[in-house]
Amino acid sequence: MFSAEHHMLLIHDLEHGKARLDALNAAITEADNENAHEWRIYFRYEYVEESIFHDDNYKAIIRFPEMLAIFDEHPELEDEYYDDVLQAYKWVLENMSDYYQISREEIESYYADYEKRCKKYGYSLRVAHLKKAFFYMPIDRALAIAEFEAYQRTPHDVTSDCKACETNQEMKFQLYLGNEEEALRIAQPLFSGELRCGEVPHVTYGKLTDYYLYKGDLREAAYYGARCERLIGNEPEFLNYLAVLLELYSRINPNHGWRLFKQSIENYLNCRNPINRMHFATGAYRLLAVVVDLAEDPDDRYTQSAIVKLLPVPEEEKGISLEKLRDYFYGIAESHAGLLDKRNGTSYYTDRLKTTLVTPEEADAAMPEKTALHGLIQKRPTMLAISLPEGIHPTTEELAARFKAPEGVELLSVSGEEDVRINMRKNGLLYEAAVFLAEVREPVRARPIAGLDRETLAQLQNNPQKYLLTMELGDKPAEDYALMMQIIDVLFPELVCMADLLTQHAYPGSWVRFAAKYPDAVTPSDLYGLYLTGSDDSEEIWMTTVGMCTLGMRELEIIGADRSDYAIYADMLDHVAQMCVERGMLADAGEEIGHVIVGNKRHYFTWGDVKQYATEGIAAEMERDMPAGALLVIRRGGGVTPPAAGLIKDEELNYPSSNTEFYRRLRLAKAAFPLFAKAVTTPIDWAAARVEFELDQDTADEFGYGIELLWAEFSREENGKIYAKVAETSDALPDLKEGDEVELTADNVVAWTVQPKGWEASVGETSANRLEEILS
Amino acid sequence: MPSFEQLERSFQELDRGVPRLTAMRDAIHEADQQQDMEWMFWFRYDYLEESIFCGDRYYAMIIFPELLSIYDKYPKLQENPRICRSMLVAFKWIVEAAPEFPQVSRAEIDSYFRLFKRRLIEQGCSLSIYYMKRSLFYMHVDRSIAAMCFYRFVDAPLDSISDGKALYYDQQVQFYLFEDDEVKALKAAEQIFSGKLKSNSLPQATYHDFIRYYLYKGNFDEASRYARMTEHRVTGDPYYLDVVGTLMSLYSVTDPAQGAALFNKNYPVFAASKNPWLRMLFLIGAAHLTARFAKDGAIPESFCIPPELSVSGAEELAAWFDREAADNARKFDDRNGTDDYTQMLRQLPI
Repeated sequence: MFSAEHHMLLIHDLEHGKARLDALNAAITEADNENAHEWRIYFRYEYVEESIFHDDNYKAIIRFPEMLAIFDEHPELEDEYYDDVLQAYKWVLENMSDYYQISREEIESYYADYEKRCKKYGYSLRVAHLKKAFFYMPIDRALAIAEFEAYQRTPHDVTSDCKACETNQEMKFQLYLGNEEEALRIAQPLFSGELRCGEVPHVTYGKLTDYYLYKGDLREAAYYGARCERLIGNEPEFLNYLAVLLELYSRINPNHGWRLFKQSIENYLNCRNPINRMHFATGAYRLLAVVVDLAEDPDDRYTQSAIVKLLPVPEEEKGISLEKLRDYFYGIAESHAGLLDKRNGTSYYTDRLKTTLVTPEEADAAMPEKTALHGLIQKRPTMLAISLPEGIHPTTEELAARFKAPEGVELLSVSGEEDVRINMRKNGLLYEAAVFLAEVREPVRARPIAGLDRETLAQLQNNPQKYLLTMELGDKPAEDYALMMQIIDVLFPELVCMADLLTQHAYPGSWVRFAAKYPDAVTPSDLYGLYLTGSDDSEEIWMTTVGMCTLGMRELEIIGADRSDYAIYADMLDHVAQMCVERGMLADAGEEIGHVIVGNKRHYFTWGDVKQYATEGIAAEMERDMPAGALLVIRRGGGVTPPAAGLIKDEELNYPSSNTEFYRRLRLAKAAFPLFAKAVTTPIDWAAARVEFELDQDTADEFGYGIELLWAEFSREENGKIYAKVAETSDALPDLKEGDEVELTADNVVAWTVQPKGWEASVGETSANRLEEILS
Repeated sequence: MPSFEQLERSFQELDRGVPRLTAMRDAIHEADQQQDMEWMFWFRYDYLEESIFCGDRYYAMIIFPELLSIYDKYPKLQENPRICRSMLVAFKWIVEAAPEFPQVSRAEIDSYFRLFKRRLIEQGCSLSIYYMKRSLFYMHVDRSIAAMCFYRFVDAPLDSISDGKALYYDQQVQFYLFEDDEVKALKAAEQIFSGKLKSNSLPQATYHDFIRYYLYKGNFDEASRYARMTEHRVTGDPYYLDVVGTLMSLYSVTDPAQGAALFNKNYPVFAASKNPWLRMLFLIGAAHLTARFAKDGAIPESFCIPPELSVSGAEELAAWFDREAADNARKFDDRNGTDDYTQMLRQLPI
């Protein structure tokens, strides 16, 4: 017996994409067999939607005509499904021109039918004009403009695209017309986040990357490419924009492009949308052409990558030939471009393929002036130096044999030759880590933290032989940094200490193991460091962040601080950097990047070109040495001033607290609670925990919050249970008195601290790695 | 003679419910006399709103066709955005209220829904509220359509006609419990229970969802936990007779004396109510409670037998409520083409 309900519940528990499409197919087949016409339409609608938004839309193109036919055959279902049919029609129409197999005449006749139906049900033709404008863009400029103007004249209604999508398409059309300034003006609400949806601004950044790349402005293309890449992940529906990134990285960063290429091969293989295949093939061809050119040794023109071997290029003795791979993709790009052009009666796509993209040198020579100063830059891989006990030198083969993928990470390959190469996939993204033994003669500059003693750090600094681990952090850098700790934990159980060569932090082995076990131990401030410097003959202290480049952001610096006030400004720099890390964004120069409350006033931070301010003293010297910096400035009443220019002195600065940080610590306190529970069974001076008490609804209504947090001091351990006496009271909990005993559990504890006997300082959940020595 | 504006302001000085409804009825008559189309609309709208929120919805069902007819008859009204929006809001209340009257056929309800959807589309509104209300109705009619509407509701954007974020989550709670998915229901309820999301009917309506769920699952401890947070919020309010009914069903298992007290306090509200659906759910609760008395062989001393029932003894009392509840449940089941409410009555928690 067919049960639509059963299918729906099943489908909605599945991941988007293939799994749902398969389940929807099964539901369609069953509904067809049962002649359940209502459900035949309904499941086809769901199928079309899934294929459009979570696949390559090929299946939608196939299924939609069936849906339309069933709808037309059953007028009794018209009232129920006419809006669904028109919605699906819109999605299909906007993707139909991707298929060279569908002639221009057929597409035009579908548009005519769609418009007839819109009129029948009283809908606006706005969306039809917009989609037709885009259909005609590569075919007939005059027709495209006419349709776009008709779109602008036609009123909005419920069938129209959302405001974000419309704005994005208006921006794209202005680029098509060559009105770059107007396009950027239109896109402002998309950049600011005022307008957004499931695809916007992802595709906005993708389009701008494409525009600037073909215009020859690689700086702007790189900026928009970085923003696009952060948003599109490895989702198959964005394959055409991933392709643009491959084209971009063929110019500016072939190594990064090679990783993205491998990451997206499976999406390409599953894609049956000709225009997306053409775009990907174009990007892959351009990238491989560069990779082949860069390989001086002929042996380097082969790859053993298991993912690359999935492509239909025959494997040779040395692996897959990159030259043949390049030619394969060129063949695909050329044939698809030809077929699309033939259908359109133009040479638009072929011309595009034949266009030679500029090199960075050519771009610099042609466009010396920056059009905008962007906060986002190309990411640099994180590089960690690993220190082992003297005499221990595992070989790369031994290390490769040790490796096991952490939970939630799929191991694609691990090899140990000159270095250890680890390929992993997490949340659909490819991660490539490399471990190698290197001789580093330059002194390692690092600050000991998390309880690392200076002697251990000195051993690492003085030993030129170091294992280095490199990996590029992804979109969730704290999680990815914890992944690096997990890799070290697996590969180097003998670890003594680790130094991050970019953030200039050095950690003891216990912290690395702790962060590997409790990923929430990694804080935003682990992802960058602060570097302060001065000189004997000056009061001036110059300070900068270090390591922000691993997050794809410029370093921030402050000038004008001196020995008397530098602590205020170091704190300020730390807060602003932390805000940027949490948001994953350093906005463009002049835009807000954070704020502080001084007195009752809110002051906004922004940044500007260092050269403008660092004209003398240490700042000018450091600017020569570390020229990529961005200067932190504070904006008040429209004016922009360096914060250390005397604007703020002797006043209390209140920085916004971070919810993300609060919840991270809370999760950590709960996860690491067993360490606390174990520590209190050893000799201690004292221990305490912050306990959450849920208020009843009436009290919560009265006080305006539902949870009260109170400190309680550890009192006793009995039969494995931990008890503490409440050390403070609250009006919201009148029955709870100071000294009342409560049981502490991972469920009710939100923070904890313990001071082992004889220790000078206490240890909380964030520094719980230090408990290792008493617990082991 | 006061102006219509003054007349409308004067409603605020009256007690809610019947006094206001009576004054509004008079105002409608006056506006009709003067053929003032705007006030013909607004007084009916006020009347409908009062009936929905402070009456028993019966009068709303009667006045709505008049409101719709005036709106359609005078195109000038359709040029006023405030009136257009109010018309949709009234429609929303009606598609929610119509299923509470078994004399309104399923075909009529479907036609209300179709018309509502069409008008939402015409005015460029989200269909979120349409799918939400239709899913609720179809839960006791056709589970597949209920599920279809629910998933559409979840995906549709909320807008000014929608019921707001709190009820958006409450609807999810109801649906997931309906599908026996306690984990998802608890997840959906998180922000309501924490007090982050509130509305006039929340959190008590969400607590009620869980009381009913745990009651019929036989988890009386958990049902009682939610009941403790609910009873004081609903007792004596005609809007919550259904919740009172569920609480009586629960107390029939856990504490018949508390059930008796609840019955005594709410029976007058029940007797005055003209809302068949609320009455039916109250009756089911009372049937369960009095069945427990019959099983125990005695009516608690504190229980006040309504004199108009003309019954004596626990058996007779239980038989009266069982008969009334069954008759009312059958009317809904006949209209819906299912036996959900009869099953609810027969699934005696005791």
